[in-house]
Amino acid sequence: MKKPALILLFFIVFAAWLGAASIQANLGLYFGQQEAKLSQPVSIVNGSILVPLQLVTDYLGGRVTWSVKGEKVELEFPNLTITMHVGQESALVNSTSYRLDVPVEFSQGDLMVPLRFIVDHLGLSLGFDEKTGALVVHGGFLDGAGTSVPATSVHAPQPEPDLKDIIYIGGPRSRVFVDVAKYSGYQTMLLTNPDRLVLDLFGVSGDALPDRVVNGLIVQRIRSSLFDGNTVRIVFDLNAATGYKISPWPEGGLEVEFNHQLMDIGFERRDDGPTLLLEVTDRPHIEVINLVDPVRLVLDLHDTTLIGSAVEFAVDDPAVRRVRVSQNNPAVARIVLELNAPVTLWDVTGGDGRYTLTLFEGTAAEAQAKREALAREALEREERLRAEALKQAAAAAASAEALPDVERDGPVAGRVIMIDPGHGGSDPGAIGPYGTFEKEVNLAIALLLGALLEEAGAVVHYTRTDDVYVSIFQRPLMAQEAGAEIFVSVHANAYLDEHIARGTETLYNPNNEQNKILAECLQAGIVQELQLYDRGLRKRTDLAVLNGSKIPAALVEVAFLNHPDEEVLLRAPGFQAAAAKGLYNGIARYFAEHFPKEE
Amino acid sequence: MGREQRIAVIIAVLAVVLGIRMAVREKAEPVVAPFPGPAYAVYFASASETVLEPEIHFGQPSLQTLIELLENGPSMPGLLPVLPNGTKVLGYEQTGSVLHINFSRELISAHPGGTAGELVTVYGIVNTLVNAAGVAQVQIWVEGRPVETIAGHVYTWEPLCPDYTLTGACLI
Repeated sequence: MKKPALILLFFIVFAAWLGAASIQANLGLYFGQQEAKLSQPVSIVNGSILVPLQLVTDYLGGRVTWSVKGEKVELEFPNLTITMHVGQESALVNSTSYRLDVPVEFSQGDLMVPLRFIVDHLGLSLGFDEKTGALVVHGGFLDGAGTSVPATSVHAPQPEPDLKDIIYIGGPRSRVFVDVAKYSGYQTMLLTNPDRLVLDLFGVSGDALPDRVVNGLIVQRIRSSLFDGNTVRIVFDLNAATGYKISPWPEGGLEVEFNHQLMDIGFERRDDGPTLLLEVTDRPHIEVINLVDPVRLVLDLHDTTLIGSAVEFAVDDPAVRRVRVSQNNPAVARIVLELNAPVTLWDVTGGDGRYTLTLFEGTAAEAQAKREALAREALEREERLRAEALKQAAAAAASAEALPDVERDGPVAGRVIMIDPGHGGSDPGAIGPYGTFEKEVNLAIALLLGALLEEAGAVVHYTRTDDVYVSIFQRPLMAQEAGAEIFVSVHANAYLDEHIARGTETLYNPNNEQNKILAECLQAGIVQELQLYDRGLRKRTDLAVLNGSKIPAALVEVAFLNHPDEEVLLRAPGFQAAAAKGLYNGIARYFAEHFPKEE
Repeated sequence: MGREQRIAVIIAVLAVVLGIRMAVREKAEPVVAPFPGPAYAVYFASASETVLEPEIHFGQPSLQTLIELLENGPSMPGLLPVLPNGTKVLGYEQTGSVLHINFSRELISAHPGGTAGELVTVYGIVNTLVNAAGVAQVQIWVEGRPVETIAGHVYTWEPLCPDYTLTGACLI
């Protein structure tokens, strides 16, 4: 073998063995007609052509952004972004991941990036010109350009279309928003066979949008097409020809809103009076007009379209003779009742397409008077119940015979105790399904507890003794000022819905061991007396009335006011007395076991 | 051995080593597949116990998304919305990592009360909103002002940190 050839062979093998070594090719590089000025030669590694990153910005119009730590670089082009990590063989194009043949690395201060990979994704071509012996990137904007390319654009900018989108908002009025940047006018036509609303927008450029299948309450499909390059026609395929309203939005665009659809009407005489049954897509706004001579009731359903033709039928009823329904004007479906005696609308109930209109036999004035009378009665009933509950609590607290035996000179004798009936005044606390106020229940139990403690020789203070508002921050301060040794807050619980939660729990702040001991004693005492579901103790650092307390404090939730079974119990004086006894036992045990009095 | 032969052997050895090395290099690289994105939890109240249940969603949520999810209520069965009926978010402001979120008055006036109910409402709101990038604490405002409490138990005047001790199982 000849020596020079041998040495060359050695070199090639050695270079290839090093693996990472690149072949520095003395290749020229052209972008279109323009020869690229290279800061270092093009390099070929594992068949991949690498060029300095700078060329991408200089000749391909990409914008380069480095991450803060310099491990990631983003090349932004008008229609795509290429992300590469230094030292890694993968790259992201927009959000799709690709594998590169060779990792992206630095060489002499330049980041060398794969040319073909970038060129391919930009939709350009990479070729080799035998005449010049150089690589050529061509295609797209590079052909025929000849001069340098502005740094930011690769493709010619497209004009923004005027019609951007048609958005089906839905809802009972099947609203549709047409997002159109500008238009010089519009025209609408409501057609039948098939039932559809046609909306022509004039002075609008851009493409038609793809058909949208909606299958909504009223709108089935939304189609659009172009007329003479300047008009867009939007067709709403409907389930029935329905009245509509077009409103331009101040920020631009148009909204289409369809009427409610009245599909059927029926009459029934029920126990509570004559009744109309409507099948209508949603509860419409009903205007009531009472007419005399002849006596009639007119119900105008606003923004409603009667589907089908006008309806009329006779009724065999003492009050109502005949029912007529027609489309009074495009926005109002009118129901007329021909009457034997005055009748007016009392109430509208229902949902989900079916509504019941309860009618009142009498004039409008009589109906109003009855409404006011009912409201008054309800109010009075509530007041009566409340007054009764308070009276019972006060009576039980006042009479010593009603109280169970307590140990005088026992563990609570001489102790100073602050009892806090939760809420009060303008803060009713929770309200039970039967209308019981938490503030009243709390006060009743608190007063009973106080009576027991006083009977046993304790000094009892209250944050309130009647229905007044006391701030939650004030309460622990009052305990401090009174020199109390413990603070017991009496509450009734509630959850977001009835029938879910029940039982007794006691809450305390774990920042002091004595809080926990007090809470345990109270919970044990009250659970033993009431035998409700034992929810145990809860540790909370966010309860205002406990956080402000420098003395041992606990908050007792006797039972769930919004569980109907427990609400009934909470109202009962016997239960309230038992709750007070349970709490008393807990307090007594707290002082007896954990803090015996030093004599 | 002659000098030329020695060089030939060296080249041969190098060629073998090169071959081995190139073969070794050709290891399979895993292709990175696109993944669904990070997961986050929107907290609603359980309809069977007095706890919060996280409802899992995927993606990187904006504050607007989280607010809409809270206002619209749960999409999984067995959950209750933590906001009282009719409560709307009137707006929000962020100072540093504290999000001040402004609710309509229904948050207080329509709240059923009770410590159990108040805790799930307050922490349903806080735990959900801290999913937004840059939010670590939430301060609840009502009608444009901070409030001492919503239902008389939980102290809401200061910004609150999330509390995950109130949660039950995960729902995906």
